[in-house]
Parts: sequence; C-alpha cells; structure tokens
Amino acid sequence: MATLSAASASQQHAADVNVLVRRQRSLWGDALYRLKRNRAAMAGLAVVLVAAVLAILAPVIAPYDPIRQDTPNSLMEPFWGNPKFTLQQYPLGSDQLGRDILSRLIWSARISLVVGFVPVTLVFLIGATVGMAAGFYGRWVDNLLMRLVDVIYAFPDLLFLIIIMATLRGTILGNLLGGLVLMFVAIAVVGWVGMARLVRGQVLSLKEKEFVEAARATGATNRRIMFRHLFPNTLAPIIVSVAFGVPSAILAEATLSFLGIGIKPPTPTWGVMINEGFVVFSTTPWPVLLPAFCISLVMLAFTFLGDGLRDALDPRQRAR
Amino acid sequence: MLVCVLGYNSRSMLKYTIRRLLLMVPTLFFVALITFSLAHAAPGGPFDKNENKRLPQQIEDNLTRYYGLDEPLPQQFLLYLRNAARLDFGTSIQRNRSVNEIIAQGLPVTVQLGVQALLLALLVALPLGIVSALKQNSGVDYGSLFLATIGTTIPSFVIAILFIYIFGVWLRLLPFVGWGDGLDVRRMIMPTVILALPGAAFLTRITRASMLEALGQDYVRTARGKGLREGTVIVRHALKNALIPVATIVGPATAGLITGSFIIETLFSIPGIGRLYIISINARDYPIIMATTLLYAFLIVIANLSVDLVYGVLDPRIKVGS
Repeated sequence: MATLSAASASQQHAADVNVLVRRQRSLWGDALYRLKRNRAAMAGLAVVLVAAVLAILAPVIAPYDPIRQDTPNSLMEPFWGNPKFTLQQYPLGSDQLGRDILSRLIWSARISLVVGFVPVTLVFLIGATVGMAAGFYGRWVDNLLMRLVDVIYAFPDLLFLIIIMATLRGTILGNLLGGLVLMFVAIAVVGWVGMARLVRGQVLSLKEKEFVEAARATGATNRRIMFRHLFPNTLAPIIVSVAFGVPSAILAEATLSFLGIGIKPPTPTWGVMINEGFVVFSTTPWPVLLPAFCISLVMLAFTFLGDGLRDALDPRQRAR
Repeated sequence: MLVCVLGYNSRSMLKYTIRRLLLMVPTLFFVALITFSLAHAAPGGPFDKNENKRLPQQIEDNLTRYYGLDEPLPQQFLLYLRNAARLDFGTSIQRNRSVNEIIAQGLPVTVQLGVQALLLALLVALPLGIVSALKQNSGVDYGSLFLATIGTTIPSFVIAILFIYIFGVWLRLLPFVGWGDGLDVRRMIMPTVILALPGAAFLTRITRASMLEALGQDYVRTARGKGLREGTVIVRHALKNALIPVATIVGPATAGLITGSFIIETLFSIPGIGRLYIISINARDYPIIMATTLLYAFLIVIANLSVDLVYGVLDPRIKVGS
C-alpha cells in the first residue's frame, strides 16, 4: 500500500514538474540517456570510434607498408620539424629502420583494439560462467572455484602476465600471429578471476530475492533461473567491468611489448614502437613520443567511457 | 570489563594471525608450482642462448647434471622445495653466483626506491585528498582530480618517457641512467617521482572519498554542535576516522611498487631486483626467476595480512576472522 501510493505520488510529481513529460524508460534506456549527457564519456566514445575506423581501414589509409624498411631515409623528422617537407616523404617521419611512423601508428591501433576486445570477451565467458556456477550452486563448487580464484587474485596482474608471456613465448602458441594469440590467452587467464568474483557476489545476493523464489515456484529449471532470471540482473556491473577491462588489456599489451616480452617485432604496436625507438630516444624523440601519445589518448578515452558507463548504469556508485 | 573484552579480542586476534600465517604455506606452494611448471614448460634451456656458439655436448651434459636439470621434473620440484625451505635457492645459471647473493645485492636498491616512492605518495596524497574533500569543487579539488586521472590512466612508462625527455634530454636538469651509490639525490628524483605517481593518484582519491564520508557522519555534526573549533572537528573527529580505509592501500601499494619497479628499473637502468627479474626471465635463469617470484609472493601476502590485522586494530567495528 505504502509503495503503491509512493509510486503514484512520484508519477504525479513527475507529471507536474516535467513539462516535457519523458516517456517511462527501461533501465537501459535510462542509462543510455544518462550516458549521452556525459560529455567526457561521449568524447571518449568519439576517440574510440575514430581509432576503430582507423584500425579497420588500416590497409586502405596507411600511406606505406608499416614494416617496409627504407634505411637510406631513416630517422626523418616529422613534417613540422622538416622545412623541406614534401608530400612524397613520411608525414610523421621514419624510425631508425626507415619505416613510416604514421603507417605504423595506424596499424598499431589495430593490434591495440583487438587486444582490448578479444581477451575481454574470453574473460567474460570464463568469468561469468565460473562466477555463476560458484554463486548458484554454492558448497563445494563454490569452495573449489573460489580457492583457485584466491590464489590467482593474490598475485599482481602484471607479474603473472610477465611470467606467462616470458615462459611461453618460445612455444608454438607464442608464435601464432606474432605472439598475439598468447597475449589473448595470458590476459584472459589473469583477468577472468575478477569477473568471477564480481558475478559470484551478485548471484549470491540475487538468488535470495523473491523473483528467484517466484521463478522456482512456477517450476523453472536451474538453467532457466540462471540464464533468464539471474544473468540479466548481473549485466549492468558486468558491462562496467568489461568497459574497464578493455583499457587494462590495452595497457597490459603496451607494457609487455615495451618490456620486450609482448608482441614480437616487426608487428607494429605502440609498445613495440616505444621499445624499439628508445635506443635513439635522446637524439630523435619522435618515434617514441608519438606512440606514447597514442596510448595515452586511447587509455584516457576508454577510461572516460568506462566512468560514464558506470555512472549511467549505477548512479549510486558514482565516484564523485 | 574492558580488560576482559580486550583480552578476548587479542586472543582471537592471535588465533587469526596464526591461521593466516599457516594459510601462506599453500599459497606460496602454488605460486612455486605455477612458476616452476611455466618456466619448465617453455622450450629451450639456459645453455642454448647463443645459436652460433653452442657449447660442446660433453660440457652441456655436465652442466645439466650439475644443476640437476636431468632429473624428472617432479623430482626437481621436490628438491627445489626442500632446499627453498632451508632458504637455499641454488646458484644462478647465467652468473655462477648464489641466488641469495645476487638478490641481496639488488634488494636494498629496490626497497629504497619503493620506500621513498611510498613515502612521497603519502606525503603528497594525504594533504591533497584532505584539502580536496574540505574544499569540494575548488581549484585544488579539480587539480587533484586531474592528477589522479593522469596518474591512474596514463601508463607509467609513458610518463617516465615524458619526464626523461623533458628533464633529461631537453632541459638537461637530471641524469636518467643508473642509480649510483644510493645517495645521489639527483639520480633518484625521476624514478622515485614516477614510481610514486600511480599510488599517489589512487591514494588521493581514496583519502578524498573517505574524508567526505567522515565529514557527513553524525559524530562530526555532534562535534560541531557542541561548539568545537573547526580545526579540532576536522583533525580529531573526521580525519582520524577517514584515515582508516586509507590504511588498506598498503596491500595494493606493495603490489603496485613491485610491478612498477619492473618498468622503472628497466627504463632507468637501476640495478634492483625488478630489472634483475626482467633480465633473468629473458635469459631463462630459472633459479633467479623462482626465488624472486617467491619473494614477491611472500611480500604481497605479508602486506595483505598486515593490512587485515591493522584494520582490525584501527576499526574495532570490523570483526577480524569472520
């Protein structure tokens, strides 16, 4: 009764104050509305979309082959540092092997975005399944899975990544696509733990709710309860976690490649470019500064977008 | 009555501490097992570094036997555990010196760098977080938000590169190679500042959030209501409680300093164990990899344990051991 009158009162209130009278929105419609009003998140989204278009069209728009060497024209200055610049030259200069930096930057966006999204998909699949199973079935399933999670969680991500990458780089797996496949596996192996903990926590509290009891009363199977009732309710925090998983995967790739144990040269990635350019850094900084700028921009963009998604999907958890 | 309660608490605390210390053993065992399996799953051994200048077969066989690499893997692992329990981590394959000796050489450098960075982070972040909370939406608040965003988003090796470029290459103010004897302040500035930055950024946000929460509590209103000076209210009532959650950062901070040391020590050629670790991994120097990984795991477990214990002491509302 109380809730009913409160609800009707708030509807009345909404109709009174809001001349525009917004249509009633679902959780998702509401979240989208909030996200669209968040300028930082929209700017982030714009940068991500531009990077995505560049990445997809890399073979078409990159002016040169990113791994073609042209040693006579190595370490050329970018156009603003080169008074005699003509359009026939490398627009952002060349690295110490004479490779076109602009083309390498564009092709690197490809690797970064793929590394951002593929492992996160794996993390979602593994983490959500394990978390759901542990939270729903409880008892020994929960105990077994969570002890495993605890051991992995006690370890800093980067340390674990370094061990996996460094030891398996020489294997067949490590040589697939220049180390890209191993990178996916490594990030997924390290990352699913956080997702599993998140989903398990959600499921633990959700499964005591009335709607699950109601579903069970109508004769729903365990599977149906998990997929149709519990899973959709865990989706909002999962989306936020995925949104932050993407930049951290990109960061992991860049850091490992920078340390020389990530993607194998000559495949261009921003981390590899910084690693290779560091040798000549004190005399020719651009081959290092440009990819450093790209990483920073993409990281900021994804973080703003993730912050926006978190604020939109769960306004109570706002950081500020 | 009070004594009785305290006595009960300290006894359950002791039990809890002992249980946690015992739980470290399986954790360290698994860390050792995982590192060992991964390190030995990799193809190639420590003696085939140079493809063109292979060692004569006889010498390689002798070396393999000397380091016990011809035993079955489970045997090697058990032997390793038995020796590690006696703190004997074997001999480095690349350097022909005992692992303990090599780590003992690098550890002080890494610890010094880490402690300096942690102190710097606290020194900057605490005042900044407190002022940001007291003067919400002021210039200081936005400044600290900017710093926090940069510190948590931009990769630390990118920031390091910018610092090296600006202060080392362009302005020629600071040296950026090596560590010296550990007393050369100018050499320490850049590595320490950059290692401190992510932690400082994180800590500023936590301090600010927890200070804001404390300022909104009833006991702060009561303190104001009974006419205490604003300074007393903030320091004695709000700050004291606000700092409790901040203590939890020691766990993640230790992990952050360890992973940060890989990058910073590699970039600045600092002879600590972070750089040693990266070098050893590339050289497949198993004894060093194993010992360093175990050391890291040990440090992190201890840091997490001390956070939980200190938390229980600082905030009696938290029940330890549940």
